[in-house]
Amino acid sequence: MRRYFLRKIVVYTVTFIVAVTVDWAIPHLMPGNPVLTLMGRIQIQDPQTAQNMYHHYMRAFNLDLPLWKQYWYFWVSLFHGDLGTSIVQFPAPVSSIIVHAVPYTLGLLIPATLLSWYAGNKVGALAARRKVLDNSALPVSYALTATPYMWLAIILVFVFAVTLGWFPVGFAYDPTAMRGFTWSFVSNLAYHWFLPFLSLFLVAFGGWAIGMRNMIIYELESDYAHYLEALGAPQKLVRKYAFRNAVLPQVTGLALALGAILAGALATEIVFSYPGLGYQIYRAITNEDYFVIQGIFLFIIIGILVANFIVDVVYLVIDPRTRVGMEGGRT
Amino acid sequence: MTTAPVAGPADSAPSSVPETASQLTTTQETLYFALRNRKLVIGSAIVIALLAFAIVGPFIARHGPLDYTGHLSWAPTTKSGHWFGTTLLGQDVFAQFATGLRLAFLVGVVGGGIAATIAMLIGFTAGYRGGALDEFLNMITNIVLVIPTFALLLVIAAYLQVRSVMVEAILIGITSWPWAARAVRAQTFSLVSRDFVDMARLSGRSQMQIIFTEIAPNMSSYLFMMFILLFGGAVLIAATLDFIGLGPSGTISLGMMMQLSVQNAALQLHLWWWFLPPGIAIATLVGSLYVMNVGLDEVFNPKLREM
Amino acid sequence: MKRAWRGAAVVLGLALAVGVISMTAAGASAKPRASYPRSQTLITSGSQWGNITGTNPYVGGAATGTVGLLYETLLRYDPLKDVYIPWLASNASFVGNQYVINVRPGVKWTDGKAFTAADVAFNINLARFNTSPWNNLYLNVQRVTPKGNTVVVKFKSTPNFVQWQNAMYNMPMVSPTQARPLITDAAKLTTYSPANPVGTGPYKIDPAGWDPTTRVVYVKNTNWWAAKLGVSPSPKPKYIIDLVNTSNTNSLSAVLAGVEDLNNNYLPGVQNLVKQGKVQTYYKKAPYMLSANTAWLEPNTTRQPLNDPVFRRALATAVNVKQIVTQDYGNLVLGASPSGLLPTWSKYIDKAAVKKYGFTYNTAKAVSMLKAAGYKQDSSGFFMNKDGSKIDLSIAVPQGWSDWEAARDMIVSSAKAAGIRLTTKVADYNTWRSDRNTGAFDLVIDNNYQISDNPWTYWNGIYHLPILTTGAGQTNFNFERYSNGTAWSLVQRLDKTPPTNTAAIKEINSKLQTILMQQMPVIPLWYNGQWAQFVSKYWTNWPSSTSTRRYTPIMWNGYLQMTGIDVITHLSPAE
Repeated sequence: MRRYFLRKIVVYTVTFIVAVTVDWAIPHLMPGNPVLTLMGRIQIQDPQTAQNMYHHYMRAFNLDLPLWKQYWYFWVSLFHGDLGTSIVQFPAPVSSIIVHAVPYTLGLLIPATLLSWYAGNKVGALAARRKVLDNSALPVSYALTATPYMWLAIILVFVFAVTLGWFPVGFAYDPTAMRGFTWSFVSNLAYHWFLPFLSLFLVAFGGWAIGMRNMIIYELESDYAHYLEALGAPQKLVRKYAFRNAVLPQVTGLALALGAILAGALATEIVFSYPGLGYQIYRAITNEDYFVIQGIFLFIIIGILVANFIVDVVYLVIDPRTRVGMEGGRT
Repeated sequence: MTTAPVAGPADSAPSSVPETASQLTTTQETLYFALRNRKLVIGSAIVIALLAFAIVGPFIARHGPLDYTGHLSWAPTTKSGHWFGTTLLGQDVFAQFATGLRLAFLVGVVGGGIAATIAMLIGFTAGYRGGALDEFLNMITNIVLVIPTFALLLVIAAYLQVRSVMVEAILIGITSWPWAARAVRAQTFSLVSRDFVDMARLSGRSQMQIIFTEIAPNMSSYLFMMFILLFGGAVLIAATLDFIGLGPSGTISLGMMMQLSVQNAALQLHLWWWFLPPGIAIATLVGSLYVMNVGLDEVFNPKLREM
Repeated sequence: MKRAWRGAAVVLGLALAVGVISMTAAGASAKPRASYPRSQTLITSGSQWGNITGTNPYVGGAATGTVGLLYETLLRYDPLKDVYIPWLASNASFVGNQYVINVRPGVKWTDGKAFTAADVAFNINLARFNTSPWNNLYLNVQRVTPKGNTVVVKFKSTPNFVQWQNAMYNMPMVSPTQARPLITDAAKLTTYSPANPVGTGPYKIDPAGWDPTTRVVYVKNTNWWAAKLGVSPSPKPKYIIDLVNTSNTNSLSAVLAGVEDLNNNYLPGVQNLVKQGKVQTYYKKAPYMLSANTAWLEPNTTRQPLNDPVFRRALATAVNVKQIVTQDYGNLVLGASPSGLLPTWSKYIDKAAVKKYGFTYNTAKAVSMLKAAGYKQDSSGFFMNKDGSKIDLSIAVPQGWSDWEAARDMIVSSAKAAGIRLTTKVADYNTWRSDRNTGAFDLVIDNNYQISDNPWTYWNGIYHLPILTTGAGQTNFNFERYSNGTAWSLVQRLDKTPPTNTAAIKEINSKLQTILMQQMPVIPLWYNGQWAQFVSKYWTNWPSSTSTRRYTPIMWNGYLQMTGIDVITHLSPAE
């Protein structure tokens, strides 16, 4: 077990370093100067004043230091928890931008990922044993998983919000709502959250359902399943064991799928104007806001590494073969 | 075994023993079952139909996809050949749709092809050579796997001066290979220990020769299915990138159609003919590819044929 | 099976709990409060691009309404009537080399203190910092003397009449009690952002509703001096909520659903909704919107053949602006006059000069102009440089600005019809901007210089010298790098001409127009609109061209202290 974790930690650490370096490097390789954007927001009439401000901001953001120094300061501040100051939303610190946006993205991602995984696996398993369900659920699941996230979001908005008016068209909550742990605010939040959540859920659900169904079929055809059947074990028992084995790759798949669902969440946030990380990163890229881009990426990278680690631990817990293998047994 | 986010190909080598009494060759037998597999037939038919449309469509369109015809926000009609209607700015939706479909196929082939090639190179090498090289390649695979590739693509694409379909496809290709590399590696492992490989080694073949003449052909069905999944994935990623505004300039793609329609208030103005076709096209194309994939899986893996 | 249900319940509960808690944690306060009553709240959007950075009135990104609702200015300006409105100053005028400000008695800060001449002097003296937008004007100030109810600003030499007058309706008055201890150097001027700012304006910031990613909430200042002194009606909305922009189309949906009352985004297709009676705009028919600034085609006048005024005039004659106005903008904009002067400046337009030197769309004429000037066409019909080299000019707009992209495409094809080859160049906004500033372009579509009290801002933008060729390049004016000493000295003279000398002003404007139309350093295309669409679900009495309420329904920077605030003070609740 120690080797297993050691290996994983080494990989994650190297990944982290590579990712942080790439993360720092890419925004700096782009052409254009973000300080000029900031300058454009201040209407300065006099060129001399403008030049003064330009140099002032360049200094404030360390942009006039050599590249390697900027890279070094990046790591130093990272370990101080300082992700820098936004250039375009000066003087807001990047960490505050992230803190305000993260709850909305997590609020969409986590329920959508977990619920779709759970429901998808259940339905997939059911479909594997009932031909009727298989013939109806399967094509639907294929259609869902092949649908681009933002298109489903567009359709949901068009049908349920614009045309039928059953749900709001976007935003996180009603502009007049007062924030607080009140029933009215929470229900308002949930009301605005539902459609974005639904679009993420449906597409992800399709993928899990199909995956699970195929895994179950595969497991049902394996040797141990036939053996159990030959012994006269009830179908339910066989299916139970098949399900347990089929779930394993779905768990690792969860970590892999996180990246895809994150992409979907980004596009969905744009369609619904949901003020999460996706929307912030989109604006930051459009405005070449170095530090915000870096900060959000870093956050995403750390989040995904942590999620992967959690999944590895869970996998270790639920798959005895890994544990045995780790402890020196042979598979 | 790890699965792709969607249906993962089963982890077994295709059978090479004819199952029917008559002595059909492997290829003939495969074809026999292929043509009888409903999923494969329907899936391929749809894909081929879309491909035909993509090839022919731009020629039969009466307008260029970017031409401003002056006919603003027309609903689908037979007048002036605006069979799919026009956009808010007066461009022909049918022409845009046909062009976009073409680009989707291009991205799928190039992006999926590049990803498949990289996956094969890394997977074969890691699986065949093993040892330290395998560990190293494994680490690289894990790193690229964990980095949120979509976010990475977003950043890279946003900073490129030149936005073309080819560049987009290449970027997608070099970031979406990890799961496929892992799968190829796992398959290679299981084949490497087989007798026929030992025979080849004994006969003095070089490593490359062994990989490409012994191992790869035995995995050909698997590789083909992998390519199909990569194709579908590339189309989806490209559509999302285009939707966010990072699409190729000077032309129009399905993702860009969705983006422009949303930006130009097609939802509020009820211009449904503008945003429905691109999404339906992508969903149909990718869905059919996935269905084809399952069908192929059933064809090549007799165990799945029951059901 | 029971285990499965239990498992389901656990997963479901966990997922939902995470969702709810995470989002409520997105800024919930500990005390539960009622929400803002919709019928007493005015909800606006369309001004706040990107998160709210604070309440600093000098730097961009501050909450909408920082100047106008919270802080006020000495004077205001009505662009449609072209008059200055005495505001915090009951009177302000030039007397020789001095500017005399009479501070209005009876004005109070929201902390109860009286607004005095010393406060005015404090604010004017803030311009001594080089980060202040008015620093260049301050360099010409000798002394600022508050005395009683008057402030006398003595200039070192002839005042910059135009720029100073413009500053008088743009310079915010912040509370010295709050600001003096905090603004101690140039950097602090740009970071000054108190959480509970004290101003003189009709509204105060409500900290309870503050959410930098979503909205700013203002609550009515019940002791507003203007209402108490009868200078302005008291505004009826008790709260004003301005929303951070997310996307244009979501704003449109919000307006249609009555979730927003007023929106200042450019919403393509809104003309269709006006026709269907679903939203209102200032004009009931085309152009629907008042004009805000001039969009023009900027050539890089240092590059061949754009350095030839005849070529520029030919290009101007080749552009089909009508196509852009009708097909790209659906008539939400107006085609520009040949001089590019905004409709509110039409009194400065020299009609005779326009008749003589103006231009209209005429492909044949463009071709003949070029031929007459000695340009020859190559085998494919495109004109070549006089030395025989190919003409292939790039034209760039920021990527993603779809209306400009469509306009650019239309310009490319109409230029092609006249034998001028243009090639699209694509770049994201910042690259486009720095290319423009550093002169690394051939042609760009651009717009700057909002509507103001004097066309001087327009001319300054076109003719300003010197042209900076190093560092950041041209950051504010003269992106087309046009060097005309005569024109620039006329612009400077205009700045130094007292407003009473109407004859000189007319003459200078006339000359500047003529130079523009003859030389075409920029090619005026259309007037961007003061985008404003509103609904009467909760508030009525919006401005309209057919009523007495001819006000600018805009919350953007610089507009509230024009007649934007009048829009708000004249609203009545809908029944």
